[in-house]
Amino acid sequence: MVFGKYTTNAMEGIINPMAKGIAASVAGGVGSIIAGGELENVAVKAVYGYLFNYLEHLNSPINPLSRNVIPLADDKIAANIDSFFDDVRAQGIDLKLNDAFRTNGLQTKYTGNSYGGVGYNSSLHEAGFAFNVNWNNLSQSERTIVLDIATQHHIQWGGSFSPYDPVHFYVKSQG
Amino acid sequence: MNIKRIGRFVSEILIFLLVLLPSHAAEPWYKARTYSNLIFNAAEGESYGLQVVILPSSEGTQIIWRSGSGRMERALLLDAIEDGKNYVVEIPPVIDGAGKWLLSIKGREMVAKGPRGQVLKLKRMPG
Repeated sequence: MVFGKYTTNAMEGIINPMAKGIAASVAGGVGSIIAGGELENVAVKAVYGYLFNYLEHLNSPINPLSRNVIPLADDKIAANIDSFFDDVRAQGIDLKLNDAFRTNGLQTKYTGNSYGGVGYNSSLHEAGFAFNVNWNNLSQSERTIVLDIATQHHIQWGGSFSPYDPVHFYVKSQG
Repeated sequence: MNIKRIGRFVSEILIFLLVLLPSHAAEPWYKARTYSNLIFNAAEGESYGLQVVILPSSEGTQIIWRSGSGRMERALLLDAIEDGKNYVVEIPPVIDGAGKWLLSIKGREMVAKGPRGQVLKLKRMPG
């Protein structure tokens, strides 16, 4: 069973129970996952986006004002994201995680396309390679420091996207 | 021939200025006015920026505040203190960007200055 194989691979090394639950639900053919307290129905096809990634828990502080944050990232970059947050916060900047990993269902919801089709498989959030921060709470000087430290950690910024997406930070997959 | 065309172009511009600009000047005081720099990145499904609707009333001015911080935040209806072309509004700590904001109208632009030195330039939306 092809999904069983992929799920077995995906579950190796997964530390977070939530991620295990996601993978297990796929293996069971349930086609639904629990995401941040919400039950999201997704097509099995839509699960591909993160089946190939190992997900690891982020210890970075979560913004209490943000809903449904799933503090997971790909295991190859999770420690780097945590140390980025540590370094920024060591400068006295109250940087918080507004978003990180997204299920395909959540991604579809955020793109405003609740009927699926084109609303998912378009973001690195779905693969655990992107996260958002509380950019609206940062002063201009704090933003400059955050961007400098991000560069030191080889973390890239959505401020260069078109359209502009300054809350968004990501790491290009190393393969 | 060219002179005629130039003359016609100039007269059209003059008509535009005479007809359109006074219609803005004659805007009723109670009209809701919307200013926005909201943007939506469809690939990421992320919103960023601010939309402000100014709602004048006989009881004072209220403001609808909609901001994007990745997610599109829920709208807030807030009382504003009006001082000429400036408005002061206090954003409660239920969304990012909480604190006192100064909103200044300059022509068809609003400059929003936040409590942490944030500066956003919003454009007047049609209607």
